[in-house]
Amino acid sequence: MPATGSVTLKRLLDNADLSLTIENLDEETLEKRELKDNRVQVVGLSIAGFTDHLYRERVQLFGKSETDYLTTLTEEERRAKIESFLERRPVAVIFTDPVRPTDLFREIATRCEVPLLSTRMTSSIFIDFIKDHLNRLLAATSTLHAQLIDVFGVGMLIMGESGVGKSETSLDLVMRGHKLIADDVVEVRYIPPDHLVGTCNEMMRDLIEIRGIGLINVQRMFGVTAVGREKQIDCVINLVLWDQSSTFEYERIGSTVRYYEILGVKRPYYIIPVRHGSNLSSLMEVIARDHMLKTQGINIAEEFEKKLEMKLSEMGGK
Amino acid sequence: MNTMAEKTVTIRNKLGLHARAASMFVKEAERYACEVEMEKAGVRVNAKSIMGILMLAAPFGSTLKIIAKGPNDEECVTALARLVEVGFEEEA
Repeated sequence: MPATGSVTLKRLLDNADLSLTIENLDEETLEKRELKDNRVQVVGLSIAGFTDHLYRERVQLFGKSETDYLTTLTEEERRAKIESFLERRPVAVIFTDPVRPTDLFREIATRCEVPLLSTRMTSSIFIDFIKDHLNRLLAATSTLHAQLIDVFGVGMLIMGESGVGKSETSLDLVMRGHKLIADDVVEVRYIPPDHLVGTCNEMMRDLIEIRGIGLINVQRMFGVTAVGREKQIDCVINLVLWDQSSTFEYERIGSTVRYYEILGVKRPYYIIPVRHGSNLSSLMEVIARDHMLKTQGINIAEEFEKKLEMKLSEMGGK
Repeated sequence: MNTMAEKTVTIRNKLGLHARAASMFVKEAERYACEVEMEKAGVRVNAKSIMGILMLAAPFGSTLKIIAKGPNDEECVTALARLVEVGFEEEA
C-alpha cells in the first residue's frame, strides 16, 4: 500500500531534525509546494543530461559527485546541463553537506521556480533521515474505536462494541503491570513495508474512561511505567458478548488463524466470547504469551495435531 | 437491507463541544441500538465513545457530520442533530 498523505515543503523546512536551510524562493512559496511521494532520488545521471529516469515528484538529492562532475565542464556546458535538469521541474532539490548551490544554479532554479534547500548532514546520513521522516509524514492513517495495550511487549489492539468491557479490561491490564497506549480511540499509521503503529491522540493521552467513575489519568494514578506513547500493533482482539443462540463458531483448537486487515496490513485476529465474570485480562495475557510462542515458531495447535495424527495412524494400522 | 442516515450540523453554543455537552451527546447516542459515528475534518470517531467525542475538540462554529447505520438510524441522527442545534440546551 503506497503512502497517501501529502506534506508541504515548509513542514520539512520546519523540522529541526533535518537541519534544512532555504537557498532560494521564500517560505510562503514552500508552504504552497506539496510533496506526495515518500521516495527520494539521488540526482546522479540526470545532471549529465540523461533525465529519462528523473521522477520529478521525488525530492532530488544533490551531493559531491554531481558538483564535482559540473566542475569538469566548460561554463557553457555547465549552464546547459543545469538547465536541462531543472527544466524538468523536480519538486525540490536538496544539497547535502558540504555542497551548496552555486550562484548559477540558484539563478536557473529561481527562474524555473524549483525550490533549493541545503542540509548540514552528509548525503549518506541524510538519505536515511529524510526517508524515515517522509514515511512518517506521508503515512496512511486511520482512527479506530479500540484499546491499544502493550502486554509483555506485544501490541494488542482490543476492539468490541460499546459496553462490552474494553476499558475495564485495559484498566485491569494496567494494574497487572502492562502499559496503556490508547483508550477507545487509536490513531494508526502505516509504515512500509508492513508496520502498523498505534498512538493516542494528544488530547486524550494517558486517560481511560470508566463508566460510573469517569476519566482516570493512568499515568498520575499508576506511574510513568503504566503508559506508553506508541506501539506496534501485533494482534487484534474482538470482544463479543457471548450469545448461546449465535451460530458463530469460535475457535476451539487454534489451528485456523484468522486475520484482520488495517490499512492493507493483516494481523492475527482473535474473536473472544465474553460472558459476565470472564476474566478478560488473564485471557489477554494468554493471547500475548501465545503470540510470543508463535513468533518463536512454536505452534501448540500444530504440535498437537501432529501428535494426534501419528497416534491415529498407528492405531489404524493395527 | 442496510440503511444509513447522516446529517451535517454546526456547533451553536459558545463553549463548543465541552465535556458536559459531550457527555450529554454520548448518553443520547447510547439510547439507540444503531451504530453512530461523528466526523470532523476527516476524522471519524464512534459517537457512543466519550473519548472519541472529546478528542474531536469541536469549537463554536465548527461543522460535524453525524452518521448512523442500523435500527432507528434516522431517528437517532435527528435526535443527536437537534441536541447540537439547540446548543445542548445551554443559554446562548
